[in-house]
Amino acid sequence: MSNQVTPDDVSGAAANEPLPGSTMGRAPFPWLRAVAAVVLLVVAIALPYSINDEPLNVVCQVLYLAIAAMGLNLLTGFNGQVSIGHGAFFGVGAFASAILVVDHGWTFEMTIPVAAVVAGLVGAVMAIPALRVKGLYLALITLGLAVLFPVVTTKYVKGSGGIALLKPTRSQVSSMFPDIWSDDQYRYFVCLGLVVLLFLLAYNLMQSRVGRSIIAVRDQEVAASTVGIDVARVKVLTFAVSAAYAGVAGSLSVFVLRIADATNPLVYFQLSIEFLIAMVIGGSATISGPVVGAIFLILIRRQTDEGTDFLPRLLGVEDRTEQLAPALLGGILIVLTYVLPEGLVGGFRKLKAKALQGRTPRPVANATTDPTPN
Amino acid sequence: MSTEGTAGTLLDVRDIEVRFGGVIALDGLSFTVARGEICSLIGPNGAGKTTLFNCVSRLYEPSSGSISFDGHDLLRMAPHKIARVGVARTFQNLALFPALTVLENVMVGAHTNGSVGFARAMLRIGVGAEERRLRTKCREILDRLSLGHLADRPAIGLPFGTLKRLEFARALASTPKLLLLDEPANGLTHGEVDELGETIREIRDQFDLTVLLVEHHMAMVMAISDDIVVMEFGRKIAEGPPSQIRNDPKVIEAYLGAPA
Ligand SMILES: Nc1ncnc2c1ncn2[C@@H]1O[C@H](COP(=O)(O)OP(=O)(O)OP(=O)(O)O)[C@@H](O)[C@H]1O
Ligand SMILES: [Mg+2]
Repeated sequence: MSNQVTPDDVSGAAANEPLPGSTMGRAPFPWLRAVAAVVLLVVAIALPYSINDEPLNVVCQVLYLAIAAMGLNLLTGFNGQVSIGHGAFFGVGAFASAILVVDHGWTFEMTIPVAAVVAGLVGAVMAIPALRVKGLYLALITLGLAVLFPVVTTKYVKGSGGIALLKPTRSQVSSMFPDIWSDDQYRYFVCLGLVVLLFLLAYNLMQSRVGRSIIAVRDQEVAASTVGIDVARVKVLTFAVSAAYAGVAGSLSVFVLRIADATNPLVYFQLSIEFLIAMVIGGSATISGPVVGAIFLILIRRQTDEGTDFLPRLLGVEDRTEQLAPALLGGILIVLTYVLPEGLVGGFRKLKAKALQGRTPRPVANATTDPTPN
Repeated sequence: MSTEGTAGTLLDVRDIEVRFGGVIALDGLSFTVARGEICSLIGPNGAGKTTLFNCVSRLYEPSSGSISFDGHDLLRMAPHKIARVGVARTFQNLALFPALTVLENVMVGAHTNGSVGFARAMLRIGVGAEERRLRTKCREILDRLSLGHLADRPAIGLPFGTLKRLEFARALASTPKLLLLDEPANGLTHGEVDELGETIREIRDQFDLTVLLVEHHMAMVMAISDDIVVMEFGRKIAEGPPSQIRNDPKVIEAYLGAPA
């Protein structure tokens, strides 16, 4: 009886609009990419020697936001499972690290893999109810997770003062190589290293048999299962990997901001939305999209936040007096998604394809998108 | 059936019943497919041909009956395990992966020929070799079905007939023992239908396949089938080689109408 596709299930699949996203092959100018990568790397390495303190902190926030958005993109962009609950996995990672460091005296760096594993496990458990639902229902379930997380955390985690707020000391997040790098330079390089590592892991994943099956499950679940793909397994493992990315991001947020805070019930929900926004702005179902999206999100937010205190707002620990900023952000997002529905990276790809050879436009989509095979 | 049948039987469908609310789509259907043959399943629209395919691929759960394939009780297996024991199929109304290229679609079809999982994929352990092997194999299949020149095109947007052929290629990629083809000639011109019939025979021989074919093009069915099962209202009304089916009065009355 397991996995039986009743006629109802089949028609339910219609809610799953196919997304763009073959990631394999097709690089017209490999050397151009290589040059771009080298330039990026040089800039990234030089950056902490030209800026420091607050601006560098903001760059670190871009980096861990990019990690969370990359993880969400694996799940939502490539696998078609919508999650508004990734803020919760971020929170799990943040608190896993904070508890180990503050209460158990761990070295911070050691807690990052633990945060990944714990968030990944929570993700795998969450994926099981997710197997039964799709689209909007899945979004609702994961939304519930993001809302529940601070409630549960407040109940079981008591920092000093009896509230769910943990603050590692300055020395607990200090540089391991004080002779070479100052504390904020060191934190920046840890974040950068992890972005690069996790980017490569995600890229590798999508360039393999597994990557194809992740997309196949999104595009045509029934056909995926008839070619031998264990759909449930792919969904659960993608969920786990995706949640682990968010967990690493959460862990890094504690490293950078020195705070894990679940006292505001809405913070993790807001974070979930930000991950989605970063993913969509950059271009879902592209590997580099979420990174670009994270940069833009922080840039836009900085602009719209002009004159207000930036860090407290990110944490949501302070009431906003300026009501205009979110509206402005929302407006910019609407315009962006309208002008570039496939995100910045998707838009850039289109432009490049046009510039390259004015390739014949794709004919109109036809029956391939029919979600009810028989 | 008797002992004489089992050695040569690859697929054994027995007393399968499927209901959709009040509709009985399959009503105690039984037939066997012998190893190496091309067996055609014919019958008017709504006879239950596709429903039978969906039972074999475990998309529909029959309320009674059994299906055994090559020593396996298929009705006890999860849907994704069916490909691994050697059954592949195409879909009447297409079920491709639109975001993937033509080649990638076929490579997904070869899923059971690969072994790289999440951890190895992320760390690129053994991925290069596996990708090369799958790509070579799938390119050969595409070339064999004259789709080679489309390998790097996205599947979305190609003509219906081409996509039916792509489904054929994807099904072949898993190196199946049994191939279920649901109206592969749909959307083809007359010349192409003849050519497809020949291709199916050649591929059966080349890949050592057994084929269960659902098709409305009678000329093709009569030309390439070793055995034909005729269905009406979810029941089998006749079974035999083309020469016999062609002249069966029940078949002529129920289905063929005009001479085949
Ligand atoms: N998912 C379903 N839900 C309800 N009824 C169904 C479903 N699938 C098939 N049926 C019904 O079962 C009967 C057999 O349908 P099936 O698709 O198997 O016919 P077929 O022989 O493949 O016909 P065709 O030649 O038109 O493809 C029809 O009456 C059909 O309406
Ligand atoms: Mg049919």
